[in-house]
Amino acid sequence: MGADTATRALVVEDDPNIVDLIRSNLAVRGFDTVVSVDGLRALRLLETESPDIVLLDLMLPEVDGFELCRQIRERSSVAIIVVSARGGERDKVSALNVGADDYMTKPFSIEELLARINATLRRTRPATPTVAESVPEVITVADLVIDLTSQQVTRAGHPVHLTPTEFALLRELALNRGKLLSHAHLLRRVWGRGYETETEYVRVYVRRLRAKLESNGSPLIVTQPRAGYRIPAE
Amino acid sequence: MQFMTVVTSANPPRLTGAPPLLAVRDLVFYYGPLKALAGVSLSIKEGEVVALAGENGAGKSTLVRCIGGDMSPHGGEILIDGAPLSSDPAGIGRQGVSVLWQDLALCDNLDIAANLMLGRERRLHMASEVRLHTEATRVLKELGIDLPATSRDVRSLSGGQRQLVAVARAIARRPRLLLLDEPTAALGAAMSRQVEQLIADLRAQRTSVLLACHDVDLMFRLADRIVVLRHGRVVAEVAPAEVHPDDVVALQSGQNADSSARGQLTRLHGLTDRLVSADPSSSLSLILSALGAALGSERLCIHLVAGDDLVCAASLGLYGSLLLSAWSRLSRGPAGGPVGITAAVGQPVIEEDVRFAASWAAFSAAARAAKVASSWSVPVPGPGGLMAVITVFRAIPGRPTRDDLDLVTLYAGYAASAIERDRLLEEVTARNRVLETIREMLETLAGPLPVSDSLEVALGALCRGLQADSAALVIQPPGGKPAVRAAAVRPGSQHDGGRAGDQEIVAASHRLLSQGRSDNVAAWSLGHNGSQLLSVTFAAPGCGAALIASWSTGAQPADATALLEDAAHSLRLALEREEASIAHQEALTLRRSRELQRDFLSRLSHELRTPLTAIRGYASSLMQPDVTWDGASERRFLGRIAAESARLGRLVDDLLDFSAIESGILRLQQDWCDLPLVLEAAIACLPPDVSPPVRLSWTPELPVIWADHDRLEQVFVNLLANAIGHNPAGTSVAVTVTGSGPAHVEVTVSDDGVGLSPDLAGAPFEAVRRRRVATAGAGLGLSIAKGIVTAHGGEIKLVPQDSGTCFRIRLPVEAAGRSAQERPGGSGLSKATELTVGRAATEQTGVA
Repeated sequence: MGADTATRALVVEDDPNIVDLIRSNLAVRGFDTVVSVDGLRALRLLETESPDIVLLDLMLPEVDGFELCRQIRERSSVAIIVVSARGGERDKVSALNVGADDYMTKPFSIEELLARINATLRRTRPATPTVAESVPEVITVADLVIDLTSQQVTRAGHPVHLTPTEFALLRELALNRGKLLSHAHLLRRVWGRGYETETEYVRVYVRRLRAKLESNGSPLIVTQPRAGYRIPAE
Repeated sequence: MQFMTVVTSANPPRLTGAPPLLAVRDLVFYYGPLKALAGVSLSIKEGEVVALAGENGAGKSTLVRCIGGDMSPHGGEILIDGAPLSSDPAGIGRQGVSVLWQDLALCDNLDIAANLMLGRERRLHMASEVRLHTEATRVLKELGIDLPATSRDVRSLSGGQRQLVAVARAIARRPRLLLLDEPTAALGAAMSRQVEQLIADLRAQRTSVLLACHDVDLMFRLADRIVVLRHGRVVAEVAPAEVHPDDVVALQSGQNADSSARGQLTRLHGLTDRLVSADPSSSLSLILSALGAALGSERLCIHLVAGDDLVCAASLGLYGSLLLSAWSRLSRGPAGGPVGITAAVGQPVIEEDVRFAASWAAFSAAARAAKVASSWSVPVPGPGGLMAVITVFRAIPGRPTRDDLDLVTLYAGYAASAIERDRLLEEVTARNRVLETIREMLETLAGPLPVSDSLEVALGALCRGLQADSAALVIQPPGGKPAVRAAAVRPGSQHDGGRAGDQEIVAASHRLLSQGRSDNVAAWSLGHNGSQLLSVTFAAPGCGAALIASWSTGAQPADATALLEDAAHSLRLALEREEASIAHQEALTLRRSRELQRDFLSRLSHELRTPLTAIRGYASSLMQPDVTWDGASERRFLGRIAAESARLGRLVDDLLDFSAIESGILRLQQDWCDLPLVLEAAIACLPPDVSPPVRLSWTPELPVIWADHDRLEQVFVNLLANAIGHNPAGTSVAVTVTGSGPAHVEVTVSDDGVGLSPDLAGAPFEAVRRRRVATAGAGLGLSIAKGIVTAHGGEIKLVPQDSGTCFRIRLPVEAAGRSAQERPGGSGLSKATELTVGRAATEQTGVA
């Protein structure tokens, strides 16, 4: 990613080698990097440095990485990539559930790290409307109003706070209202190329959208088992 | 024969420890030739109200005057708190005795206040009249006595008012013992009640009172005990609860009781009234004393049927006699004297003259001593046959009248119903005991205690409930031998203090369980030592079980079988509960162990991935096509790759060692080793800039040991790396080597740093228990160290201490089983030996 303005990354990691590795590689690509080895300092840096992306190691001494992730997500909609030595499915789902946008398992190659950082930043940054796509400015689904320009969502007149990834997923479903969208399609469109097999990302985020947007008895997003999701046509 | 006491077997005379407040012994007093007191003895305890009953001239007032110090007795002694009574009135007052005289010892020429405070004026410093009157008024008010102005002469008072002044004076001194001689004789009903209330109040304040009076009803209301005087002697001591006022009147007069039909009827009414409210255990003595009063006879006894024997349950006028002790238990039939014969034939036996009666032949001496001339014994029939025999003794020969016999028969009816009532009560009590036992067992077994603890408690309850000597729960696993799971012995039983019955019980349960019985049915059997065994078998989870109770003597409760079966059921449920709890515990342990395993694997994975991440990351960075790294970065990257590869290699080595130790295939390349050399090599492996420094010291004459040099070095590198890695600058690490007997060497590695974390200190050598620490490493170091030391036949211990960490490694000079012949002498590995010998006990500082 050729960044026009310096992108700022917060690296929360206790292994000096990995810090050095990430910092060196991000620096040559024009990133600013701030580092913290503990949770409190990480939260403070989140306030003072306003990073665009957080690279978070789950296994920090004295800190529960999941809890730290949840607290970061509570305070900010910054992009969070969890970097963990634990490759289990359960850890991945847990991390996504507490607000991570992506999950990367150690050991990783630098290409993979950079690709994920770019994909996540693209997804979480305000969409730059492309000339080719003509999209409406506002989509209404029942009592839900989705303003694609301002990225605001209201439900029955009350604003609903969505993270960038959540919004991107809702946008994709709403723009294709009535159509069945496969997991692979959603992953490619929302998360980017290379994510097509990360089915649990979609599951976790659909669940989060439902929790925020659906009330009892009126499903917003319909699951088509083993196929995908759709928002039903009116 | 004037002496008469009511004694019941249920209430034997009590022994008291402290001396009584007042003890009068064998007091004798003569008025000229007239013997007023002929050896009177009595005692009063603190707070006790004792009434002296007796007709005029019986000696009541004389006794009171002697105790009050007004007259000196001619014989015997009077003790207050065990000390002789003072000889002067003031001294008696100081001893706490105050007297209210019958003849009103008031000074007629003085006013009320002066009389009230007589003898105390000086002590109270009542120089002024005003203070005297104020004090007198206060005393009267406090006592609740209403009198006219205290300045009035007592002369002008009515008899009743004079009596109140006298009472007030006696009480105002706050005596410990108050002697009252006819305190209410001169008073009207209202004032009598006032005085009575005063006495009751005094008793409530633990003041002792000796009350001499004629008013038997007053005595019954106030007294704890009534001592009856007649002709200067104590003829009876009775408790108001146990006798009727009529009896006291009869005792006072010493005359035959009113034997008119009307008198008898009154007596019977009184008896039934009292029987209704009396404690069952005293009902027989009540009936006996009532019968004695009705017959005008002073000596009686009643024997209850107990199996083949007749047991004396109550007697009147025989206390302490030879006869009573000889007759305390008689056998049924001729050997049992008149009582035994009466019981055998079921007919009254009348002996007009005991000297010539065959039935009395065996008891003639006792009869002579008790001055018994004639007797008649009457059977007491009950619903199920003979229940008791009542015997009346007379001091003169002759037959009883028809009326007397009828009277005894009448009272025998009462006795029968009293006995029946007692028996029913006993039955109810027994049934309650059974219910109580079951309840107690269930509560214990279902309670919060672990089953293993509550079993013995429950069996103890069962023992008490069954009145058994012991009870045991025996368990037999399939194919195994029966073993006592829990047992209890009843306190006071034959087995108390030991488990004498265990063998017996195990043998009996073996018989039962080997028959494969588990039928939940209780059955009786006879033990080898003649004890009665009641047992029930049942199926406990995974084994056979038997519950056995044993009685060596004594009766077994009628519903013992039902009780034991119920108990077995409860125990089975408890054992099932225990089984479930054990299974639950095992599941928990298994889950915990799996969690630990998972945790260990996750940590291990992290430790392996960390260097791998660095290696792969740096390598892929260097291969990035779009970046050209400067020379410094490139060198740094390559250096890190090399370092992390080495680290990864060590981890893999550790892991392989750990697996080898875990699976028991660790191979040692043993040779004769010099420990200080091994330690120096280990210290040399540490990073060159170690902080804290390592101090190495050893004692001279250390033997060389048969060991794997490299492996031991690995042990010490691990220990030292931990000590260095986990402790801040300013702390130090010390390694000391000492000989430990001829066959062992001890190495201590200690630091004065932060110490191990509590969870690690609990099990330092268990790999799976370790939490992740800030420094790298899979946490296998200590496990591997232990594995290597153990493989050498040695042991490694964490020595508890207040601060820092201390490991002690004890290594054998030669592993057990190795022949000493192979030990090098002056040649072979002489270099190591020489090194050992040549070393002085100097301290060296480890490689810095």
